[in-house]
Amino acid sequence: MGQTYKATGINLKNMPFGETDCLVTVLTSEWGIVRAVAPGARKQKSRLRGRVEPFVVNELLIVQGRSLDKIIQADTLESYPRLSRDLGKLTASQYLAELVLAVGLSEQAQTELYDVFNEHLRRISEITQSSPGAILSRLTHGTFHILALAGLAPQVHHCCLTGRSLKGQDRIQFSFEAGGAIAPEPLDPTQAVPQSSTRPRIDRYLNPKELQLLQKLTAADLDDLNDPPEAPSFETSWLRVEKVLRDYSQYHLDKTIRSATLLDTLYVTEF
Amino acid sequence: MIEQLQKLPGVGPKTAQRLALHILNRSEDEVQGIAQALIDAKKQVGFCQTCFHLSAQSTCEICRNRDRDSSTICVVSDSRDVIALEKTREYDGKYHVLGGVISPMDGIGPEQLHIQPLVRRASTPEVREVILAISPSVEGETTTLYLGQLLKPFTKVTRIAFGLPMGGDLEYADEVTLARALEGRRELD
Repeated sequence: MGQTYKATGINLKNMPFGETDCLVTVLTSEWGIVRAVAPGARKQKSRLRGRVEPFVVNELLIVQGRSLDKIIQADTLESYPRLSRDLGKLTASQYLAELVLAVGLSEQAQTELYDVFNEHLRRISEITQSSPGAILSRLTHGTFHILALAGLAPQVHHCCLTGRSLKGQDRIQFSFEAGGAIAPEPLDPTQAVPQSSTRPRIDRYLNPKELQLLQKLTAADLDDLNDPPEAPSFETSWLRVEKVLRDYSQYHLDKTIRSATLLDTLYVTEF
Repeated sequence: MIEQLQKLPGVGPKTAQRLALHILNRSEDEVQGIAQALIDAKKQVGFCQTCFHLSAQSTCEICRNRDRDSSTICVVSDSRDVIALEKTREYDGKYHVLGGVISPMDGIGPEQLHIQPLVRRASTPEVREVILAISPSVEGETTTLYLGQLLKPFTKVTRIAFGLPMGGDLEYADEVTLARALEGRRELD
């Protein structure tokens, strides 16, 4: 038998493996992303059966294998049961899990990513009034924080090109290539971007409300929101901010967030 | 031959080798019989136009059976689930096979499943109940909740119970299953 190790991890994904096993992808605090086989987990009476489902947090005992590690014990710490009672919450959680899979590293501690992912899952699961606005704001907040941990968060408080502070201006530009928001061209030519630097491609234009929401994402909590979560303008703004951040993430991660398709099916048709 | 047999689900190199040697040891007639059965099945068996269960005809035996209750449709993800439910002999309604479950992370969306035909069936006045019998995994829950939202305006939508299996031991059940079993508790008759 190979060497064993302990880890505390949250399941991101599982898939059938062989006749009765499961191949589980886990984000562990101590070892980052771990892919391990849960032997017999698809058997009706297996003790691992429920424990290998996505979004379940376990204390794991894993044995190292030649090609794949094997989970030999799992003790559940948290299972976020409220996520599976709402389609929006479930889709948002899978969206964040995809993002974590894209930025998470293996064979090194990922304590902060583990904590941030757990915290945002908890926040999504605790949403009481499950309106699109409430779910989209929590999802976007989680996305921003995960990107920040990966060093990819967009710059939203200052212009990427001039460093000028951005506050309440209309038609703020957003460039994926430049890494965030860009102030509109100033009327005073002395404040313009030097001729030598070429202006990057502009991917979106933000209105003051959208810029304000993007700036709020940098905070630890999303408490100070002006509109009630059920207001249509609130939902539309979050929908647009989510789309900006999603396209920005996909550009930098060079990966499509597949769960976003279902999110579009659920929410875009509602507006 | 070993390489081809290895492509079958649950067949590893050793099993493939054993099957190959077994086939080689049989008479030519027997081997031809097996081969012909495989070709015939592939040629003749398709999907029922109504419920998408495996069928050798355009409409399956269950959909053709007039003695079965047409006001109830049981939605399952796979034809294997129809076979499992039929073995219980407790259900005499009709079925609808989705052909999978919604798996956002794998890029499987509602449009890749037989959901539109289900909505058409459920929206007829004849149908009074749709039973969602989909495995309680994350993908299964996503599918169940999605179908629930979609079908509720047309008819009564129910889902099968989840929790402990018969003969299961409470002490040995995992926390997730046990929590779900508690959540799905019901009053004694």
